Amino acid sequence: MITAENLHKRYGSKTAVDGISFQLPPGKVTGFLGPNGSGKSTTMRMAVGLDRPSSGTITIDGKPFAQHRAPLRTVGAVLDAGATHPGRTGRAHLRVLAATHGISHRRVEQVIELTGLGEAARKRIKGYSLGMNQRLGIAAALLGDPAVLIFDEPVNGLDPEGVRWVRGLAREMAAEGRTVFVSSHLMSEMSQTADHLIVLGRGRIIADAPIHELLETGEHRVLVRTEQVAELANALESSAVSIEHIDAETLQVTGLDPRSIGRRALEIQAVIHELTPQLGTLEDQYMKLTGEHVEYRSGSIPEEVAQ
Amino acid sequence: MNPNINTATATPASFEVDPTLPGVSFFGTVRSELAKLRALRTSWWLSAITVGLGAFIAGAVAFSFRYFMSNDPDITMDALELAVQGQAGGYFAMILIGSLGVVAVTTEYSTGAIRSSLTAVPQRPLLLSAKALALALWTAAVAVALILVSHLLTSLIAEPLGLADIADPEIAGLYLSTFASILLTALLGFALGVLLRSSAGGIVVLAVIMFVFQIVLNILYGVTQGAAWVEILVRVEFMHLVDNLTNPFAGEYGSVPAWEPWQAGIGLVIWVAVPLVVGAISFSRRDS
Repeated sequence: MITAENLHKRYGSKTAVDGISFQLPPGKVTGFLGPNGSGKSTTMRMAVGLDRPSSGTITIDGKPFAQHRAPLRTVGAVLDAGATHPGRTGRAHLRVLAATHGISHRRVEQVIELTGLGEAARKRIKGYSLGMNQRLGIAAALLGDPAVLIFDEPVNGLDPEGVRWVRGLAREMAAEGRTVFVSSHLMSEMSQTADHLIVLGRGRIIADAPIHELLETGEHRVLVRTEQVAELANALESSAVSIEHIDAETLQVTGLDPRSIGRRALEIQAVIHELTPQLGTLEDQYMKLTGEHVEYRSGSIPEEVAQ
Repeated sequence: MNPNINTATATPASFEVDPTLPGVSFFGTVRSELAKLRALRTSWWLSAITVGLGAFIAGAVAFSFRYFMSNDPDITMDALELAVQGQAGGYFAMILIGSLGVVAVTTEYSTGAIRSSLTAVPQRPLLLSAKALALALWTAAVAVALILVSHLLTSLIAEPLGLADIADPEIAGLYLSTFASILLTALLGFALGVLLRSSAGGIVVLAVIMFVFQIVLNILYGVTQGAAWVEILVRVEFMHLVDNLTNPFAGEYGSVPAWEPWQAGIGLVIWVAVPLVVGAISFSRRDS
């Protein structure tokens, strides 16, 4: 269980985390979603004591991380794929960490096997790709077979097989009753991994809900194909409904369910060729939620360049 | 129905960490820190250069002494004086092993490995003291090797120092004080590394403490014609204290009064303790 209470972190005049509170129960994968600079990594760093909160608390099973008797067996964290000495081999890095808790060399070999590091464990870390570094970070996190896993952007640099493996690992660990906390700025990643989402924007929580609830609250759109586009558009018009003309025979209607659209079409005798509900996506919801909270926004491409 | 299938009403599995498994321990962390030093090429290079240079200096001093003795029989030196000369490599050892002290901690910051270390051992005072002890053990091994090799070469090449004189209380005391100086300088370098988190910064400040202070203060002493306040500074300067601790003849040639070796030892401990305590406080509070 990870619990944050009114957690703040300021770096000089900049507020990175602005009074967030949450509780992450065991047995679930909780996704931590937000744009770059929204405070996800800072929160995770505070959870494992790397950064000190300016005020508020974040605890693991009721105690600050540093007060646990066996930190590696309590929390396995992958916060930074580059947090290693490049001159050491992968195996030496894991053995150095294992020695602090009297973890056996046999367990080191197990996690090397489990994460698919294999022969690479004999090589110096400076020769590792980003993906291999991520696997080494995950191997280190699993060394103590911990009850809580904290992964900051764990799929960065991984190949598709690696991405699938991390998703499976997160789900498997949660199914075993562990608390799994995974951050990402990729909505697609979260939708396939998380049970519950905390969405962060500019250091504040803007949503904290099960993933299915977030999807359900999304607006449903309906794609309508008809020969009487203008008549149907007139018939559907109201303040709660927005209609977008896609082409000469196609409308996208937001704010009405397919059944109501079908009834109105029947009333005006319009011929319908297609009536397709467009399910709200997590991406839509995410964009809607974080729209005002994005710190770094892309500019538009100048027309002459775009052409 | 498969009882393992998660349903909305099923109680999620609960994962418990086996409480009988060992937790983080001080000696486990010392082992871990020693393994880091062993894995660092800089440790081996600096240590090998230290012992090699010490052996070269001891050999060169002993040969020179033998040469002068053969040319001028009036030149005399007792075993203790010769042993002092044979340990001249200790000064180079101090800057080299002091630099290792800096690098032992700053390399963790420059590579980012400190974040892995702190995630495994978030109890910062424990981690820092384990690092310091591991460095002290490594330094102790290098210092013992340096002192023994220097003694061996000096005693084999030149008389009147004999191999068995290592058991002589005065010579053993001299070697012990050289050992303590090297160890304390390594810890001073370590403290500077913790404070500054920069290899270049730490080594430069160490060099300033070891060499620049001495030169500047001696010039100042001359310019002020031995002003009392400058004399105090000269007497408490780091290398002056090292000289007073390690050289039983320091009082015979110094321009300012020499301390007793035990007083000089206390002075050096203060030189090391102050940055170490400030560094430890900073390390415990700072974001990593």
